[in-house]
Amino acid sequence: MKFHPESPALIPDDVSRLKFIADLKRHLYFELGPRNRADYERHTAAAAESQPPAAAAATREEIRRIMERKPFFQVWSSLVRAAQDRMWEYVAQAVDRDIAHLNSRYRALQLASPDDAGTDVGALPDYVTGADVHRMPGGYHVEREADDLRAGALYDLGGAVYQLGLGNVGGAMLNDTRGQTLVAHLRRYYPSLRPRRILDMGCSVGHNTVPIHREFPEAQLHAIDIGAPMVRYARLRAAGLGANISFHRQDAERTNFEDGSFDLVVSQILLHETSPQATRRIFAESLRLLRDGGVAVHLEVPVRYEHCDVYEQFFRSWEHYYNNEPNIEGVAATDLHALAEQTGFSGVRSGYQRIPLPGEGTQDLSPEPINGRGTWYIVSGRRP
Amino acid sequence: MIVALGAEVSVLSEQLDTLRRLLIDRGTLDAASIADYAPPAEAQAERERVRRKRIASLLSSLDTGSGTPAQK
Repeated sequence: MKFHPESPALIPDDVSRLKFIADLKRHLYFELGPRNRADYERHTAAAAESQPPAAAAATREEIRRIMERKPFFQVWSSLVRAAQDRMWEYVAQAVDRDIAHLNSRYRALQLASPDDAGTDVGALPDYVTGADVHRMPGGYHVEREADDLRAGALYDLGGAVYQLGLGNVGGAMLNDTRGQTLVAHLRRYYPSLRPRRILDMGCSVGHNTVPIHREFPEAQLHAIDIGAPMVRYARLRAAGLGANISFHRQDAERTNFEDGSFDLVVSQILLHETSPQATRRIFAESLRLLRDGGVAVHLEVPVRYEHCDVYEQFFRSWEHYYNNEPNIEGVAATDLHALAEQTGFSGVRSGYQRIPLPGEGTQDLSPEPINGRGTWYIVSGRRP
Repeated sequence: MIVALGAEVSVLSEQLDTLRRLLIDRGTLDAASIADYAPPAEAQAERERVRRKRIASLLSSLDTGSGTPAQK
């Protein structure tokens, strides 16, 4: 089977392995994960009854120090990590079986571009090179040969499994609900926007760029990522899906596009892969690139510390400490609405946007998390 | 180790399921047919049920203690 026309082919054993991993992850998160809170509450109750009573943990960091000594948390965390590492191993088996074919397809379709050399990119930032993000071996940028697509292919397949039910709806493995949710947000809040030029910052393999192309097929759509294999694979993937998108290797903190050259600039789960400083620079860069009255939309993972009790803050930080997510904490702790206003955007909106379901009307942003329903967190605004 | 073992058991079980269905339906063994076999929705649902039961069983020793979902 294939996830899309140009994806690596999966044999039945790959599918069995990946379905096992997806179900294992689901069981660990939803069935066993809540036991960690029960453990913590027992610890808190025992501490309160001790003589003299121990002070309650006040911060997520204090809770983390307590929980890291709990056997259940240790075992549970090890299993979640094992599931993640096996997922990449199994995905790599499928990719490596097909990588020569993928690389030759890329050459045959003449998809290479001179800007892949990344002469404008400079040194890769620490948040890209410091650790293998999501524990994906090699991260977003490592290449094994000239014009290599391998990291993009790994990320494409792994991302679809990693997202469980949140990235895919209706059985498709396109991992594109961020793009669909962003489009729903534009329809609801910017219904008269008819962008001629659009930029998607930090697009990885273009999972969520394609839905933007579907919404605005006449627009000139540019998408950038700092990882060369991501950009290459994105071109092949989009070609297979018949989406006309220009992918470039560039740094979202400092692109080489001219001031005011776009009507719409977006990022989709980019910020939590960067750093607090980079987040500020990416907001500023998105403002610089917009024409007056143009719209920026930044979509992120729906983890906001202001809407979590302190235990939940600890628990939702798991990926930051044990799965090489460089900036989950930074984004969750940053008031992105205020940051957008400080950057200079006007009419700023923020909240949880539901993933649209087929046949469902456009939904308002929710100021609070929505239990039992997939959402993404969105901040949007206009250049005055 | 347990995760790897569980994954391989899952692979074996589903391969056997494929073989069994083909043998019953056709009374013959055909390697290409096995590789190309696409389980129908009903078979997929059954595989999912068995797989999830296996995962719960593998991890059942962890699923104890007050306040766990198992006691809902």
